[in-house]
Amino acid sequence: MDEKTLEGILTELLRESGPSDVLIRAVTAAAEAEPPGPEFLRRAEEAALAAFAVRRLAAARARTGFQPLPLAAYLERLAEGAGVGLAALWRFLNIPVPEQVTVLSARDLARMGRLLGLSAREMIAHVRLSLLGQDLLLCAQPVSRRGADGPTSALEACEAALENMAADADAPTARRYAAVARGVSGAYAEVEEQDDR
Amino acid sequence: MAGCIAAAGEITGDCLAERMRKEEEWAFREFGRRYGPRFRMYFIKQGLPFTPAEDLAGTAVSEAALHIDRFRSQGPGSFDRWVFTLAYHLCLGWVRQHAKQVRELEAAAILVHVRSREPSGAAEAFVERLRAAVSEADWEILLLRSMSVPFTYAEIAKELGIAEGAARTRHHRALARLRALFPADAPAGEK
Repeated sequence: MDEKTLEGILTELLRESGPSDVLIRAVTAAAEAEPPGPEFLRRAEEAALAAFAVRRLAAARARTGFQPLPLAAYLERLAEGAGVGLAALWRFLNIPVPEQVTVLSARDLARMGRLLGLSAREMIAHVRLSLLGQDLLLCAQPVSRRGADGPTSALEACEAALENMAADADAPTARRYAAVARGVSGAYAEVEEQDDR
Repeated sequence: MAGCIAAAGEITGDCLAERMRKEEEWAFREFGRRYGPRFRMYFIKQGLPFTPAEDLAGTAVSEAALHIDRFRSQGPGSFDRWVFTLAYHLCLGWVRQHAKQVRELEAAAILVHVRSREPSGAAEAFVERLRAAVSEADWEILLLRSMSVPFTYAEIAKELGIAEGAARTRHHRALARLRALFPADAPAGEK
């Protein structure tokens, strides 16, 4: 066998064998010997603080549960409850601060939803409420869809109200609602698959 | 904080993780400042260009901090092993994403080699065989020298507490032992 080829293969296998205690100590010593500049340290600190803010937002979201609000208003409410700014969320997602959350791509919405613990159905409801420019009044209407399973949840009530509105909407608006549902559901599935890998 | 201060005067990884789980903001700051530079150096040693190494170090800090609840202490050093394993997977992902074609060629070369010598064995078994051929310390020397930006013999010597010349000699001997496993004239399937 060609020795160079063997050496290349060995090198590759060794690189892929994962970090050992000795490698970690050597990397730590090398990092201390050649410390990065203050700008990198600031970025590293910000990265950790962005995760801190996302954890707090997710905790606030877990306490709050679904609320029938347009997405922007819902996020503001979570930020208020968490005591953090939304800027950290955008930083974590590595996307520019959006002028309106409705301009975010379905993929970014899915990534954000997964981070905060929102299901695809909840995200679709929030985005549809955003497009309608409606708030909780829409979903506060009494819902007639009560079956053997008992009263509907806030989400189900909101989804039913939104479906009723979609049924009354003109064709282009109805198509837009359907596109939101398809886009967000598809993006959630993609992001979930990627996270599972 | 009793028992939380390591010999170097810094809070231990276990205690830092505990404070992060309790949502203490200073602990997140400390984590970023301590591990950001270490991840950066790790990625540089793995051969990533400077800018991606810094970007990926930021991602590693965020990801580890976000998922701190997943860490389970298994004694001293386990926190470092946990965060570096996460960094290692991020690094592999980056390399596979950005150097796909090159990596595919390398992977193909490894597979061809492993299959020709180990018809029924997996790559892991192949690595284990290599590992068994040298001592634990010599394996570590091979590992440190296999980085795209290799650790110098002086750095390895300092880390292992041996002379620089000994590090060099042991590396060459360890490589020779591995080469001896594959005689140049051995036909495929024979050892």
